Amino acid sequence: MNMIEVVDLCYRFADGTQALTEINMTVERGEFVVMAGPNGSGKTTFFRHLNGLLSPARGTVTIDGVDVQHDPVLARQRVGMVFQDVDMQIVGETVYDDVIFGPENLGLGRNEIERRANDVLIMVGLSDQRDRHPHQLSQGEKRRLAIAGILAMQPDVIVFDEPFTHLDDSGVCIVLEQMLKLHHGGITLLVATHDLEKVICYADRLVLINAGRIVEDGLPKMILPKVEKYGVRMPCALRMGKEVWPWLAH
Amino acid sequence: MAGALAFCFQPGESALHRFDPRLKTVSLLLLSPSIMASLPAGLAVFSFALVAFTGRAGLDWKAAVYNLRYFGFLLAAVFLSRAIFTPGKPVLVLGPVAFTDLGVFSGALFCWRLILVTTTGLIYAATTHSREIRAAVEWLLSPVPWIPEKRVGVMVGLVVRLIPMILDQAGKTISAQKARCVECRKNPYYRLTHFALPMLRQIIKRADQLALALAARCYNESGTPPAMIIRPVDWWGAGAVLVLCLIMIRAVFIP
Repeated sequence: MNMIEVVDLCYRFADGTQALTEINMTVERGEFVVMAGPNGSGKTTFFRHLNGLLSPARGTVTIDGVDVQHDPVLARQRVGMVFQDVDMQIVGETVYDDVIFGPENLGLGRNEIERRANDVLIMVGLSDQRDRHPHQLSQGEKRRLAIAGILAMQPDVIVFDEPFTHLDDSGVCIVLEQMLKLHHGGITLLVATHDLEKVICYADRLVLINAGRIVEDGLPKMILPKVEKYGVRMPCALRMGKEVWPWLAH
Repeated sequence: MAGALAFCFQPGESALHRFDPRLKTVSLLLLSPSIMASLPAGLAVFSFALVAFTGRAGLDWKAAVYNLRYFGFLLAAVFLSRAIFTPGKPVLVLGPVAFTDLGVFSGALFCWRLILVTTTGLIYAATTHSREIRAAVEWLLSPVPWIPEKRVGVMVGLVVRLIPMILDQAGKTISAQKARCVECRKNPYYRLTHFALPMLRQIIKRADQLALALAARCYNESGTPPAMIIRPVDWWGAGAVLVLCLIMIRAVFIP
């Protein structure tokens, strides 16, 4: 069974703008999908349908066979979303508080919450920062905290919306390492970005979205030569006729 | 955001941090009216207790005072109106304006009370997690019929999260305007409208984003409550607050 199945998804904003048009897509369990497109192409809007933050005007989204609209809470537990603006995602008053926010909302027992919080803080390398105020963290640390908050809910899918925004090179590497670790751990990853260079070598699949429609979907090496037609910058190496190197091999 | 941090929870291990949130909330509810009813002797006792207890709480007083600087205008307005308009013997005459002895006393007393109530509230917010505040509100309201205590708790939790966000947004809007030389404009109406409207727009946008972030992590009325245990030392603390309130109220009757 597919992990994510999107059928005929359409969405229109309140002002009448058609944001998504007839999106059909399936994602297998454990797949690493990069979704690229220019600003305003519908990536974030599409991602928000995966955990029921937006309701489709038409069509269905199912996560592991369960319709998101029938059980949005289950969808939000199974599909964790790391927002583009992590400052908005962080709601706890300390690092630890933010990590336990999700598990507490799921009504888990205190011991289980404590165990999960300790595990994920170690996993993202923030265990020594647990009593710090999140807004005192660097952008890279905040991104890791946002990931930790999602991981504590033990999702099957993690959706990253522009994960490299505001990050310096070391921040990019740390977040990328974290993403790869999650992927190797069997988690399905969807990454929205227009900065393909950093992530494309690790992806199983590249999906191009433009004006709310999926215009290309396939293996990265097949799709990459076409990206500039849709307002996405091709990786530099490819422009120079060379092979794209993994970002972490630099 | 750093400035706004003075208004939200500051982690620590002080006695005030460890004080049971339910008893802390009850203490706050008892202290506020007691302070407003108290006279200088009672206020002096409470001020001393406040300084003694919060000295080691590790709170960022400098930032709090800086962020409350506009509160000073309110205090000044209260003091001046009381000092000028309360009947009494004039102690200072500046042209047509006369400050009366009773007016100065009444103004100073009222400002002292306001400062203490505000400081007590700030200390409460700075030493109590928002989820503990939420749980304490739920606990307090649970015996009251017809009031959905969980829903009220969620609302209180949202307000506590929203206040630092609003202050943060105000700071950003001010910075953005200063970067474009808003100080050169002397018309206060122009400055106010050009500050308030974009700030309100941004606050609404950020509140919307906050709601999305909370929904994405399954925020609801029936999550796991924080572990709260009332220890003997908490009862002693609540008892001390009660005694303090009685002293303050008793001081009203001391001539």
